[in-house]
Amino acid sequence: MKGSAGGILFVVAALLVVGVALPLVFWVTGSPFIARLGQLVLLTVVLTIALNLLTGTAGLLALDSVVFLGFGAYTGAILSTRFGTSFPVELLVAVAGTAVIAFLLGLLLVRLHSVFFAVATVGLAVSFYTTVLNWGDLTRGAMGIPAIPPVRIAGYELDGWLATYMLAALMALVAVFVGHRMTHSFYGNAARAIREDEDAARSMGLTPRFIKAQIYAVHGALMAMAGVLYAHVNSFVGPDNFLLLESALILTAIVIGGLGSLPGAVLGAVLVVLAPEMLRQFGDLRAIIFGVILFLAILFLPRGLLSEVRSLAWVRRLDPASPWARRKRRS
Amino acid sequence: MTVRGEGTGPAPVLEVEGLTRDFDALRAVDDVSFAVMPSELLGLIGPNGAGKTTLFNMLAGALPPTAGRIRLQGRDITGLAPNRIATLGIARTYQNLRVFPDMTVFDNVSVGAIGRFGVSLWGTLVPGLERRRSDRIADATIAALERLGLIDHADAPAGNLSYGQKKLLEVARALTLAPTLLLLDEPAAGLNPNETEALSLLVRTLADEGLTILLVEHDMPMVMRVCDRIVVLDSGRKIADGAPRAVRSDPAVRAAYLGDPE
Amino acid sequence: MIDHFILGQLAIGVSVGMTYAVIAIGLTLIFRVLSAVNFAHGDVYTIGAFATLIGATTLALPLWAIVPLVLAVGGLSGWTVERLAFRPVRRFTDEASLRSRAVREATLLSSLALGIVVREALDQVYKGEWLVIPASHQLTQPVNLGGVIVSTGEIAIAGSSILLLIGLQYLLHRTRIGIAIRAVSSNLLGAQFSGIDINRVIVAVFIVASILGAAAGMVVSLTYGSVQSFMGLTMIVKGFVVMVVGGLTSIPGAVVAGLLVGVAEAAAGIFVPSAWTEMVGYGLLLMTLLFMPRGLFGRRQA
Repeated sequence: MKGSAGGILFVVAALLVVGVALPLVFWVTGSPFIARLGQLVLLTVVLTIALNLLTGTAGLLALDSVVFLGFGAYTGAILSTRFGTSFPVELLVAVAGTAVIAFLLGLLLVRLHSVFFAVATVGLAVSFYTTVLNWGDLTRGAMGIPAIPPVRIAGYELDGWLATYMLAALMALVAVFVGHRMTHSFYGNAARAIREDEDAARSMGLTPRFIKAQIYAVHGALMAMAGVLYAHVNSFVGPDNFLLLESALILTAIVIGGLGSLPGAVLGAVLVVLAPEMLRQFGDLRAIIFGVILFLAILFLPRGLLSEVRSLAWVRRLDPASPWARRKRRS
Repeated sequence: MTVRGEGTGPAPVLEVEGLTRDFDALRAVDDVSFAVMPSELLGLIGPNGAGKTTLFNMLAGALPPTAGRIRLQGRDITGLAPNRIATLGIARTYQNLRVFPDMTVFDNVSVGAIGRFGVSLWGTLVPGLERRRSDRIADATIAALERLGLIDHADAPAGNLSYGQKKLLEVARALTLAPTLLLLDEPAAGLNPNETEALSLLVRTLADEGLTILLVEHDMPMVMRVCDRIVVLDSGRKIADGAPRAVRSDPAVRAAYLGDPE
Repeated sequence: MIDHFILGQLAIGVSVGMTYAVIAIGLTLIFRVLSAVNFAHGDVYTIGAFATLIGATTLALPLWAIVPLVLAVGGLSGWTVERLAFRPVRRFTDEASLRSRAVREATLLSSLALGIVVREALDQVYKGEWLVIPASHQLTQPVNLGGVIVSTGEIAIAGSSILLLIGLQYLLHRTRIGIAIRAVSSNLLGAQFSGIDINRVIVAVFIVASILGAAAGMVVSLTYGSVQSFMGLTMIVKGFVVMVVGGLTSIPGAVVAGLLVGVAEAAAGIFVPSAWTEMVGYGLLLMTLLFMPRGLFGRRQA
C-alpha cells in the first residue's frame, strides 16, 4: 500500500474511520447493538474478500465457504472449551491447519471446471454439515458447543465490545491487505488470465492448477481466521450456523459488490449485513429477500455495483508506482 | 541465405521426427519430419484439412502425438504439458484470437512475462520480496508493447481493440516469454490487406532480428513473400520442403492446391 | 447365505437409487441441451412433494387424482424455472453464447437463487416442520417378497421409475418434440439449420425434466409419509453425484450410477450409523472425479 499521495491518504482515511471514528460513534451512542453490527460487518468483510479472491478473481464458483468458516469456528470452540487455549494459539491452529487442508483439497477440486467445481463444493458443504452433525464426540452434534469463553490473549480476557470490535477490525485489515496484494499484482493478473482462458494462460507458461489451489487455500485460511473470532463473539457454534445458505449469502454479497473487485467485496459485505437491519420488519424473510436480491443482481447487474474493470483502474490511479500498474504515459 | 545441409552448419532449433497423430480411424498427421534452423522463418502451408493445426497443436503441447519425437534445441519435449513447453522456449499465438477480454492490454501482455519469470504467493503477500521480479515483468511487458506499437493502448480493455490490434497483442504476449521459437497460427486470417502487409513486415523484421519463427498460414502470397523456407502438408503428409520459389513450382504442391487427384 | 435383513436393505437401496436416477436424468436432460446445471431442480422435487401433501389434505383428493395434479404442477414449475432463471440470461441462441461459461455460471446462480426463494418461502409458510401425509395415502404397508419385507412404496418407487423411464424413451424417440430435443442435444447448429425453434425445445426439456422431478417427490413423500421444505437439498446433491458418476449426458449412465449410489448407501448402512451413509455418495463422486473424470458412461467432452 505504498505509492502516490492519493493512495496513502485513502488508506489513512479508511484506518481512521474504522479504527477511531466508528468506535467513537459506538461509545457516544452507547449502544452495544450498533457496535455488534459494526463487528459483524468487519467479519463479513473478511468472508467476502476471501470468497472474492476465489470466485471473483480466480473465477471458481464456490459454495463451500462455510466449510472453512466452520473449521475455524469449531477449532476455536473446541480448543477453548476443552483446553482453555489462548486466542493466538487457536488462530495459528485454525489458519495453518485449514490452509494445508484447503490446499490439498484444492489440488483435487480445481481439476473440475466451471459448474462441476460448484457442484463438488456443494457436496463438500453437505458432507461438512453431516460430519459436524454426527461426530458427536467432537462437536456435540446438533446441540452445538455452548458457553464458549471470550477471547483470551496473554492471560487477559477481552470481553468488552471495543476489544472484539478491534479484533474484527484487525482481521478485516489483514483480509484487505491480503486481498489487495493478491488482486492488484501480477499474481492477480495470472489468476485473471486463468479465469478468462485457462488454455491460453497455460500456453503462456502458467500452472493453473497450482495457482488455483493456492487461492483456494488462502480463501480457506481467511475464512478460518474469521471463524475463530466468530465462535468467541457468538459464544455458541452449532451445525445450523454453517448451512449452505450462508455460503450463498456471501456469494450474494460479492455478486452485488462486483465479482473480482476488492472495493466491491467490502461494499457487498456492508450491504448484506446492514440491509436486513434496515428491513427488520420483514424479520424472518431475510433469506427470501437475499434470494430475490441475488436473482435480480444476476439478471440486471451481472458486473456488480463496482465492477472489476473499474476497480482495477481506480486502484491503478491511486497507486501508479506499483509495478503492476506501471506503464509509459503518452508523451 | 546459407545452404542448410544435414550435419553441417548450426544445430536446428526445432527438430520434428516422424510426427504422427491419429483421431480414431483418421490419421491427421502422418509421419512428418522437418527442422527449423536458428533465426529461420519457416512457413508451414497446406490446403484445408492438411493437418496444419494438428501439427501446430502438437508442437505447442496442446495435443499429445500418437508417434514421433519433437526436440527443442536438442531436448526432447514430446508430450510435455503446454506450460512446460512455454517455459522451455516455445511461445504461440492463436488462430482464433484468445486474448483475455476483460483485462487491460498491459495486463494481457504481462501474462507471458509472468509465465517466463514466474509468480509466487509468498512474494506476492510479503511487500518488497518480489520487487525485482515484478520490475522485470513490467519492463518486459512495456518493451513488448512498445515493440508492437500498443503502448498507447496499455490501459484500454483488450476487448476494445480492433481485430488487427488483438492479433498484435497476441504476438506481444508471446514475445514477453522471450521464446527461442515463436509459433504463429494463421496470423493473417481475418486481416485486411493493409494489416496483412504490416504484419508480414513485422514477422520478417522479427526474423531478421534473430528470432526463429514457424508460421502456419493460409495466405499463400504472404508466405511466399516473407518465408525463408516452406514446408507443405497435404492430407497429413509432407509433400514438399524447400525455398519458396522451388515450392511454388513443385508439381505435387500445385496438384494439392488445385485439388487434382494424384 | 445372505440373510433377509441384508436383502431388505438392498431392496431399499434399489428403490432409493431409482429415485436418484430419476432426479439425475432430469438434470442430465437439461445439461445435454444447455451444458448448464439447474440448481432449482431439487426444489421442483420439493414442490412435487408439497403438491402431493396439499392434494391429499387440503383438496382431499384420492390417490389417482393426485398423480395428474402433481405431474401438472411439475410441468408448470419447469416452465417457470426456465422462464425466470434461464431465458432472461440467454440473449442469443447460437452455440457459443448458449453454452458459454458466463451463461452457464449465471444460470447456475439464478437457478440457485430461485431455489432459495422457493425453499425459504415454503419454510416460512410451513415453519420448517416435517408434515405428515395422511395415513390413507401413505404407501407404507409391508409386503413380503419371499421373506424379504419391503413396503408398497418402495415397490411403487421402482415401478413408477421404470414407467417414467419408458415414457421418457417413448417421448425422446417417438414424438416430434422428443426428436427435436435429441437433435438439439447432439448437434445444436444442425438442429438450428433444420428449422428447430431452440427456445421451444429448451422449454420442453425443462417441463419434461421437472415432471420427472415432481413425480419423484410425490412417490417418495407417499412412501416415507412426510414432507419438508428442505427435502430437495439432499436430493439435488445426490442427483448431481449420480449425474457426474453416470457421465453427465448419459441416461443409462444415470440409471446405473443411481442404483450404484443407492445400493452403496444401503450397504454402508448395514455397517455404520445411517446418518453417515450420506457421505457414501460424496465419496463416490470424489472417486469418479479422480479416477474416471468422464464418469461411467461419459462421452468425450471438449
